[in-house]
Amino acid sequence: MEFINSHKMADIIHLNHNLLSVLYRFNISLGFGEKDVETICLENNINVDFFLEIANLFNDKEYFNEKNLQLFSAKLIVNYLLNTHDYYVSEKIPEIYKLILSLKFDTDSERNQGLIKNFFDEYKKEFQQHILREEEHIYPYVISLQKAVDTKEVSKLLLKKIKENSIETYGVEHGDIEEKLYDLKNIIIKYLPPPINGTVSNIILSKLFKLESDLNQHSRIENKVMIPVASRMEKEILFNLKLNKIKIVN
Amino acid sequence: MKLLNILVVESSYIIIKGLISILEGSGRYNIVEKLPNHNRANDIISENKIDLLFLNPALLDNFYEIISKNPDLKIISVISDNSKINKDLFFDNINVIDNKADVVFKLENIYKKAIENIDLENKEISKREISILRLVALGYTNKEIAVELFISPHTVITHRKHITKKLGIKTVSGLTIYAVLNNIIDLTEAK
Ligand SMILES: [Fe+2]
Ligand SMILES: [Fe+2]
Repeated sequence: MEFINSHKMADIIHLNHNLLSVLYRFNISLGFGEKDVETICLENNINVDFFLEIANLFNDKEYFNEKNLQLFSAKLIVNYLLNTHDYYVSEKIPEIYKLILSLKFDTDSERNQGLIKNFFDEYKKEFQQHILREEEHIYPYVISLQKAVDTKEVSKLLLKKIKENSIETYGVEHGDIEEKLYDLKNIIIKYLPPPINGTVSNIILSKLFKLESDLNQHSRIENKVMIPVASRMEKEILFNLKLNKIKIVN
Repeated sequence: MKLLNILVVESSYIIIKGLISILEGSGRYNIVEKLPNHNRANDIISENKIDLLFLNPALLDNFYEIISKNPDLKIISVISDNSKINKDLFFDNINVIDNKADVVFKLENIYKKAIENIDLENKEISKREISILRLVALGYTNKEIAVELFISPHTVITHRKHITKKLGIKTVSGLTIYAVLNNIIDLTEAK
């Protein structure tokens, strides 16, 4: 089923509680009463169409429609990606970390705890580096492209970046941050002795599977939506420069 | 008999129906999903253990990313026009104009070849691989391992691929954990 703006927000959450994580990213808090999606979005200053596009994407993987998503402004897309990072860093990763710290084993408990803890510490570091690069370099670059298009003014610095370090470079280098998660799953499933508190490892696993697929989707939006949108703006700027429709400023 | 997990990506309804009825009839394949385009392929491949992908090569462009992420995925191109394809990319090919004997023969071969590859994944790691794993876990580079064990760096890489395939662990830190848990190295040795 496809969600539309006249659906009640409460109904949508009943239909698919995974959408709670979408609400988090849009900074929407509960307590909807009978209000529909459109009203809630208006009250929270959220673009309804964009919200629906993302909600539908979470509800039904087949829904992924890069062409639709590419129609939204770079600012909306980047903002969403930023909030998703925040969701991982502030919620998901600490949640899993806490569970990992609570694992206890019959034999070699300290050693085994240490192994898993170190592994996840490393993962956290890698993860931080990945998103730091995006938040400090890539996302601001995409936003400045949008600004140049809107104001019809491009700075020399930005122009240099477009020519020498276009978004395509990022696209090629954009690695995945799921490899270590894959290993962690296998280590827990296949190799680690079963912990005394067995349910904990089950919860960790189900959270890892979920995080993995969420990350997949996040990278997909970066690769299939943000990159094409940015690259289109790069072309537009270069083209308009030739037609003298855009000014170079310092 | 081991069932192979199959994903079919093909837009033609007739071809999809035909292909699936042939595959199911053989009793050797478990069709995990059939898709008309590439949209959900990545998720399905990462969430399920897909052994073989039957793919219309016209849709290949969208698959380069998937292929690079899943180097072991075996892809069979299902050719339905006479456009040229790069055969190196595929595990095997079948053509819609093939007659029954050809298709049966090819599918038989595909199954045999695929099973040989998959058997490797089910094997325990060998002594040689353990000695390589040990050095990997201790932080040696491929070159250093090659020197230490008197083998070529190329052989080291082959062994490492096999180790990763057999254990289902891709990263060095993951392999280190495995090595400690299985007493291949001592925690005090690990960096
Ligand atoms: Fe990101
Ligand atoms: Fe990313």
